[in-house]
Amino acid sequence: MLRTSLRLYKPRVELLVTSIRAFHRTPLNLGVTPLDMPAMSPTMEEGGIVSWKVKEGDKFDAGDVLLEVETDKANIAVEAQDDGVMAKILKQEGEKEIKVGTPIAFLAEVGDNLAELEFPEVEEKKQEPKKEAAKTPEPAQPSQPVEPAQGKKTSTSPVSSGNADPNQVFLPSVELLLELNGISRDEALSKIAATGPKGRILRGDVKAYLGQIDSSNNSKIAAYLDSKSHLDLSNIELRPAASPEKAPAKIETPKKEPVKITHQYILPDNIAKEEILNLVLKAEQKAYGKPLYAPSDLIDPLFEEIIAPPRNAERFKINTSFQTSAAEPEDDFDFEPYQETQQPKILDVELVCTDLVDAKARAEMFVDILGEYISRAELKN
Amino acid sequence: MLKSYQRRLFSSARVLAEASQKKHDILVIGGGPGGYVAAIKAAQLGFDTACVEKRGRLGGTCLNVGCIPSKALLNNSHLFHQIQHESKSRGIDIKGDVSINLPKFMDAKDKVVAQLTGGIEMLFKKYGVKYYKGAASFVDEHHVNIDPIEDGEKAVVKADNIIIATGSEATPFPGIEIDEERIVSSTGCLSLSEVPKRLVIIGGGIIGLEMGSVWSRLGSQVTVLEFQNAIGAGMDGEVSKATQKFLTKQGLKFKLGAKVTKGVREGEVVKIEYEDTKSGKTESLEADVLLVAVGRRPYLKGLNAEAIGLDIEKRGRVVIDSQFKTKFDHIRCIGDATFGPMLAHKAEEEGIAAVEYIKNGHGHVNYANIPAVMYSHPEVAWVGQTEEQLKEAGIKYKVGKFPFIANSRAKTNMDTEGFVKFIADAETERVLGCHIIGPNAGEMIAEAGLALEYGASTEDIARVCHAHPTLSEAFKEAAGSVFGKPINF
Repeated sequence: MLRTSLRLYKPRVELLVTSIRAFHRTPLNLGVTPLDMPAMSPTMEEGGIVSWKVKEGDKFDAGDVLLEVETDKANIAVEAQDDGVMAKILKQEGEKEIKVGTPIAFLAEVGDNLAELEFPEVEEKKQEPKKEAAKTPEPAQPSQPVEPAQGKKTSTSPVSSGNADPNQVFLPSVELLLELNGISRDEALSKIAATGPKGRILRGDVKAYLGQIDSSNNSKIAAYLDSKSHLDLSNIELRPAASPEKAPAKIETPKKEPVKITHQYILPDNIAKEEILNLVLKAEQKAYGKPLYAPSDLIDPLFEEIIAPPRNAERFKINTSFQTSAAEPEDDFDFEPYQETQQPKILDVELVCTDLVDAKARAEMFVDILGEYISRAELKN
Repeated sequence: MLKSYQRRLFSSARVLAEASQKKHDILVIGGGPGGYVAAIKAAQLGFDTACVEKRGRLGGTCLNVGCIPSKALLNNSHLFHQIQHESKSRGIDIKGDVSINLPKFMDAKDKVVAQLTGGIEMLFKKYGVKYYKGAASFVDEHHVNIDPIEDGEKAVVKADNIIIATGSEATPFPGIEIDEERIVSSTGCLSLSEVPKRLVIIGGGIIGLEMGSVWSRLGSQVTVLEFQNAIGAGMDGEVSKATQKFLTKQGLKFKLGAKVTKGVREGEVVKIEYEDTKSGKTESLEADVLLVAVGRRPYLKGLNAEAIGLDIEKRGRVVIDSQFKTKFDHIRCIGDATFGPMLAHKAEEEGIAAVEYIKNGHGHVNYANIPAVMYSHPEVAWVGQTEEQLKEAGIKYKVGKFPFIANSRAKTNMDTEGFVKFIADAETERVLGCHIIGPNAGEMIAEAGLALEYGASTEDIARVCHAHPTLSEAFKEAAGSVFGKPINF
C-alpha cells in the first residue's frame, strides 16, 4: 500500500549549519509520492541539483542521502526519512534555479512494481509562491477520506487562521493523541486547524478534529487570550491640559503681558479737566471707528471690516491721571493742601491693550487723535 | 558576569565633553529597566544610541529604590529570621545572641545596588551607548535639552527617534505628608535608621507586603491597612486569602476595608485614623513609622511632554498606540510612564519591542503572559488569568492544585507552606493561568510562562520529566491533577 500522506526528509547539513529539520510536501493522492525541491533555509527560493545519490529503481533506507542540493549558501545533502524506491527522476543533475516546491522526482514504496506505477503530470503551478509553502501548508484537500465528524475549518475567529506551522515540534499531549488515533504527522499538519500561538496545534485542536469537543471552544479561548495579549488602549480619557504640577516649559513663550502704551500730554494753560476728559472720550470713539488702512488696490475696507473683531469689542482700557505740576515740590515738608480747582498741567494716559488683533494699532491711533484734539483745543482757546 | 562589571567599574575614563549640539539615531529618556534595555538593544541593532538619566545612577527605581534593594533586605531578613527561629529545630546550636546590625545590614544592600548600577554603565560602554547624566526636557518634538547633573555635560540633542521611559513615582496619599523619616514612601522604608517598634502600612499591595515582611522579621509590629477587601492587588482570590493567612501567621496584622482619614506626625510618633468601611466606625492607631504604599503614578516631571503636545490621559499616563507611538510617530513611550502593569520586566519587554518597531516595523509583547511575583516567604507568583477574570469572561475552567506539604523537597527543606494552582480550560485543558505560593515560586513561575506562550495544556506539563527531588515536581503534579489525580497526594 502506498501512503498518500506526506513524508518527511531530513537534510543533513554538510557545510553550513542550518536549523531546518523537515520540509513539507503536498500529497498528490496518487500511486507515487512526488519529492519536491526542498527549502533548506527559510529564505531559500530556488536551488540546483548537484548530484543524485540514487538512480531510478534504486531502493533506499530512511537516512540514506538521496541527493545533494545546491543553495546560494551551501551544498546540502537531503536524506530520506522513510524507506522507499526511486521511481522517476524529473530534474537531472546540474539543473539549476529550480523553484522550491517543484517536484524533482517521484518516490515509490519498497515492493512497488515500478512498471505499473502511474506518474501524474507535474503541474507547473506548483512553482508559485513556494516560499510561503515552506512555512504554511496548503489547505487540506476536500477529497481526502477519513474525515472525522466536524471541526477544523469551521472556525471563523480572526486569531485561528487554522494553518499549522509545518516545522513545529508537537506538544506531548498532541503527539500522544495523534498516535492513539492513527493520525500521521502530515495529516495533522495539513488538516488540523491550529489555534495555538504561531500555528501551533494544541491538544484541544486535535480533540476538535476528532470530533470530541466543539471546535468553537478552541477559537473562543484563542480569541479571549488574544484580546488579553494587547494593552487595552480603548476609552482613553485625556486629562485636562496644563496640569498645575507641570513645570512651565522653558521654551514656552513667557506669559503674555498685555501691551501697554503710555503717553504724556502737556496741557494748555486754559483748559478745564472736564474738557480734557471729554476729548479723551471723543478720541476713543474716533479711534474705534476710523479705518485702520487707507483703501488701496490691496485693501478693501469692507473685507477688512468683515475679518476684524466686532467693532464694539474693547481694544484698550484708558487710565488717565493729571499732574498739576511737573516740578518736584521744593520742600519735602511743604504740604500744599489739595485743591480741586487746581489747573492740570500734564495728562498721563496709559492704554492697556486687549489681545484683539487690532488693539495696539487702534491704541496708537488714539494717542495721535487725542494729541490732535488737545492741540486743537489750545488753538481754539 | 556581574563580577566583571564590578572589576571594571572604576577603570574607565570619561570621554571628554564634546560640542554641545548632538545628534543621535535614538535617544532614550530614562535609564531604568525599560530605558537601559531599550538603549542597549538599539545599540546592538546598529543605531547610534544615547540614554539620558538624571538620578546619577542607572537602573531606575527598580535597581536603586525598588526591586533590587528590597530583595536584598528580604533575603537577609529571611536568613536572620530562619537562624533565629528555625536553627533549633534544624539541629543547629548557636552560642550567644543572634542580632541585627542595621547599618551593616543596609550596607550589604547598598553594595549590591552599587554593583548592579555600575554594571549597566559598563554595558553602555561595551555596546557604545552614549550616556548623558542629566535631566531631559523637550525643546520641541525633535530636540531634547539636557540639563547636566554632577559631571554630566550640557547638551541639546537632536534625535530621529525618542523613547520616553521616565518611569513612575510613589503616589502620594492626599493629606499625608511624606518626610521619609517617620512617614515614608517605599524609598524611605528601604533605609530606615532603626527598626521601628510599630510599623503601619497603608496599602496591602506587593510593595506594602514585602516591606511589612522585612520589618516584621526584624522585630517590628506590623499593621497593614487596606482599603479593598483583599490584599495583594490583582492576585487570584484564593491565593490572596492564603497569602493573608500565612502572613498573619508570621505576625502581620491586617485591617481590610480600612479607609485612612488621617496620618500626622506628632513628634516621634505618627497618629493614624481610619474608618472601617463596613461598620463606619473610626479607629485610631499609633506608629513609629508609617509607610504609604498606595501605588505608583507615571513620572514626567520636567520633561515638557505636554508643552510639545503629547497627549496625557487622566491618570497621567502618556497616550500611545499599539506600537508605543505617541502623537508624534518618532516619539514612543514605554514602561510605567504609559499603560499596563507597572513592572520592571514588562518595561524591559516593551523597551526591546519599541526598538524592534523602529528597526523593522515589528515588535512583540504578550500582555497575557506577564508574571507577577511577591517576594515574601514563601513567595507568591502568578501568570495568566485568575479565576475571577475567567468567571467574568464566562469561560469554563478547571482547577488543579498540589500542596508543597506533599512535595519531598519542600519536606526535606522543612519549608512546606503553599501550593501550586493551575487553571485550565475545561474542555481543552489549555493552561490559562498558574498561581503559586511556595518557596521559590518566583523562579517556578517561568515554566508556567513558557507553557502559556506555547499554548500548552496541563497534560503537556504533566508529561514533561521534572527532576527528583525538586520543588518543581509540585508544579508537574499540580498540572497533572487538573484532569487527573496527583501521584503523591
